[in-house]
Amino acid sequence: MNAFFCVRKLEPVGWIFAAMNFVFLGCAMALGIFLVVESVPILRSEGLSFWLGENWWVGESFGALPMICGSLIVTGLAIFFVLPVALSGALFTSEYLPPSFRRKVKGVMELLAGVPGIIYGLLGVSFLTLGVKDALNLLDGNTFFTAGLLLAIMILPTVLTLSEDALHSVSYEFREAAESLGLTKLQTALRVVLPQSLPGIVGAVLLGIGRAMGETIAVMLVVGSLDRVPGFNLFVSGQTIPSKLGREAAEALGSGLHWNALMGLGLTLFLVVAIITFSGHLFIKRCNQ
Amino acid sequence: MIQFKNFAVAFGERKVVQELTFSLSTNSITGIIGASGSGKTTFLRALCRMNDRINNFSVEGSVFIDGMDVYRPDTDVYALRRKVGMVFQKPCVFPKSIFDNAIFGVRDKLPKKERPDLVEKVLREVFLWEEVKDRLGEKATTLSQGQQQRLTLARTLAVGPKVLLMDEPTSSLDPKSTAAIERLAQSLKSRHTILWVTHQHDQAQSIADRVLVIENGQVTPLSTPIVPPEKSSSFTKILQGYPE
Repeated sequence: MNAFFCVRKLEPVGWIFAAMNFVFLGCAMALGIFLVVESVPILRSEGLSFWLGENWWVGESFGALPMICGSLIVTGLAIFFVLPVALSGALFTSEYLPPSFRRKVKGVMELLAGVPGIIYGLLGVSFLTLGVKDALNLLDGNTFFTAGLLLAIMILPTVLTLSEDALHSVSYEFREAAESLGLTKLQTALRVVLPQSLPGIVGAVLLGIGRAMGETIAVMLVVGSLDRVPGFNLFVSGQTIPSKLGREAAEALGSGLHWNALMGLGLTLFLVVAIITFSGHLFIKRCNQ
Repeated sequence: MIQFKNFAVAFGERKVVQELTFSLSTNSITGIIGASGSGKTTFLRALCRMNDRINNFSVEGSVFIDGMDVYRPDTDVYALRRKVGMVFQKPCVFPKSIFDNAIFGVRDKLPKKERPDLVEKVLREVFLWEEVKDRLGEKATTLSQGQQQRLTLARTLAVGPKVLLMDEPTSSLDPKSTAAIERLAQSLKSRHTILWVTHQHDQAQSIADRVLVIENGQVTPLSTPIVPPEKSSSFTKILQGYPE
């Protein structure tokens, strides 16, 4: 109701801004509706076993569990690898580097954050798969572990630079207040700066998760593309939702239930990312209280 | 005792304080006044080395606080800052509870069971205990500006400094809170040496035992006789009705 009254009082330019906002909201809604509508046939046909089934045999059954597990494992691994590196790097860049050097580091990070996934994918195929295979003495280097590691490298610049922004935006007054009490620079960083920038860091990690969850081509090149639930072994080939979509979307277009099953996978990814983002916002809200 | 020997403070070529040689006695309040930009705050911050990180900041000569040479290369800056506490112009409380704010500087060194006693002690010292004793767990940001300033002072006192540097601590406060902080400074004088920077001549004269004027890099004592606190206009008028 309040929002309605706000909109009524808008100036003419404000209406244009409001319209742009509705374009964005409209796109998000259209995407959701499209995915739901396209997924209905497979959900009617398979029911809950679409999400719980382990077998994906085109024309017989469509079980998405291997892809759901794969996506969660690969993203979890990426976050596990990236968090300590990104947080330490962000703290060092924000709190210890002189301003001129900090700007240079930030420039490089922002450049790396914009590098397309295919470039990372090619690097992964060329070096990472072979490196993992040789280092761990595996038959095949295309594993969940390799995909998680590659995703970590991919999202590191994004998480690092956004976390650094969050740390750097903490008012200088707080640092001075802490240092005037005899706290060292490290104590100030850990006890004052880090807790205050936590919402921003969570936002950075969420963005990283979003990119990791949705990355198609780089993961497709190194994950092995085998539809199976991996159990506790991370050093086997597998499949993620985007890599499955990337492999089969072109051939499934217009093929009935196969296409609907892929749309069902898209809807699942959409929901998982939405749940993670929502949980992150709840966490930020709690932090702010 | 704070002793300056040919002490000079400069930003690049610009000398903020020139060739200062004098002593400040222990357990006294020294008011420092001067026009905006005259270098009062820079001078004060130099005593706890808060300017060290500024690029073109430099000092000459030496300053001794309680026998410790502040600018000797091997001086432990963190130990110095525990000895020389600073209260800033704008109260800056951490977004934590009142309790956590009060012991923020000593939390790691103090056993858990001793913390409540210290919190009570320092909050009593700044006349804040009665106002917050029932809501120590609440966020410090819910306090008024005046209460926040007293809390930052309590936080500084908890570290156990011998010298208190107060940089215009009442400039963002209402008259009632100002009077409370002024009264507080008087009560702390018996245990601390206080340097109080202010814009207001009458405030400096009413609270300080000695007033120094910073002008064009020169630090000189103010010749006007000091008005006893109880005769100061702001002090008496405002303090009437303020809880003891």
